[in-house]
Amino acid sequence: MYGRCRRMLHVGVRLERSISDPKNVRKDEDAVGGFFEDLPVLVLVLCGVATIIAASIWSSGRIADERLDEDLRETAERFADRLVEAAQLTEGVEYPTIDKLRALNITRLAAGLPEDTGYAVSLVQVFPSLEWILQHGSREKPVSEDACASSRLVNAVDEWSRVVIVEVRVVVW
Amino acid sequence: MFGERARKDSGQLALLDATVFFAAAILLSSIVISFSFGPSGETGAGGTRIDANEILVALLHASVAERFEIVLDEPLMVTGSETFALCLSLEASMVMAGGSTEPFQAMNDVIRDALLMLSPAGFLPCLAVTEKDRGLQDPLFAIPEMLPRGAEVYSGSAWIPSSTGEELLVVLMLVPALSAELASV
Repeated sequence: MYGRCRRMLHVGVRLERSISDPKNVRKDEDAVGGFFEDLPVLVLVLCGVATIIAASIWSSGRIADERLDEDLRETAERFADRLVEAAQLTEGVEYPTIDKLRALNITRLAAGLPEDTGYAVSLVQVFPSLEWILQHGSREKPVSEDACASSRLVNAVDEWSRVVIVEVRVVVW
Repeated sequence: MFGERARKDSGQLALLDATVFFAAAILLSSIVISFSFGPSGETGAGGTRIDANEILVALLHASVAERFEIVLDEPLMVTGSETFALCLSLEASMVMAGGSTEPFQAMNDVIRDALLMLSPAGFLPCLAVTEKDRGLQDPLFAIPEMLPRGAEVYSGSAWIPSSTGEELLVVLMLVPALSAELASV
């Protein structure tokens, strides 16, 4: 093993001497064309790196958008649940009346929303006929394209004592 | 001799390494992009939340709100204040007793219209009523009709008592219209 290493070292020293000696340097076209070979390599590496960076930026942007949508959706769901709960809180009565739904204090119920959240609430009777019951919205924040909606169906009693179906729809942005 | 060997091997190795790196970069980018596409949850087209159970419960508790006559041995007058649950229970009891759904056609039309009003846009509704020991493959009756098998279905169910005291299973199925068409082909 020691002898083999010595031989290799000896060959290396001889090679260095032969290259450093100007008499041993030839002028021909056999040299490695590094510049033209490295260009495709450089292009491939740059393209690969650019692909990874672009994919990472796009994905992180998308995940951030989805998280924002998810937060808004949860806010809308909670707000809709709160409205339904407030509408149905009447002791001894199975269903709220349409008049009670009209009298809901939406501004008070919306007080629990996160700060700087715009909202719009609509209560529409969807069965047996289509009728507007209530429409209410915040005016503090202009409507944004990033909005999420949630809806619930509740039963209510109309003026003819029929049980109708009312849709509670909430949009938050 | 030494220079010629270096030209052939080194150049090829660098290009091969770069190609492998590029392929790995494409693969890694694909994984990163596919990772950002998470599951969309129980939503239909356009992110609409589909809750068949909520629709079914609201429908069963609602009044029929139509006056019509059910022609049986003794004509039965529906005033409109009866709930859908009561009407379905009555129809199921008649079918279980060996009768047909023919006398209940007017009521079934009202239920079908109500289902169409309550279903999300782009969805076909189907309401099936069956006995406790009977499967959904062979329900007592279905309004408007049983949907083709194999279609993607959002469903909700509820139990209602029949007029004879037995429990009846009411199932509401909501099928995307396109999925139903594909399944029927």
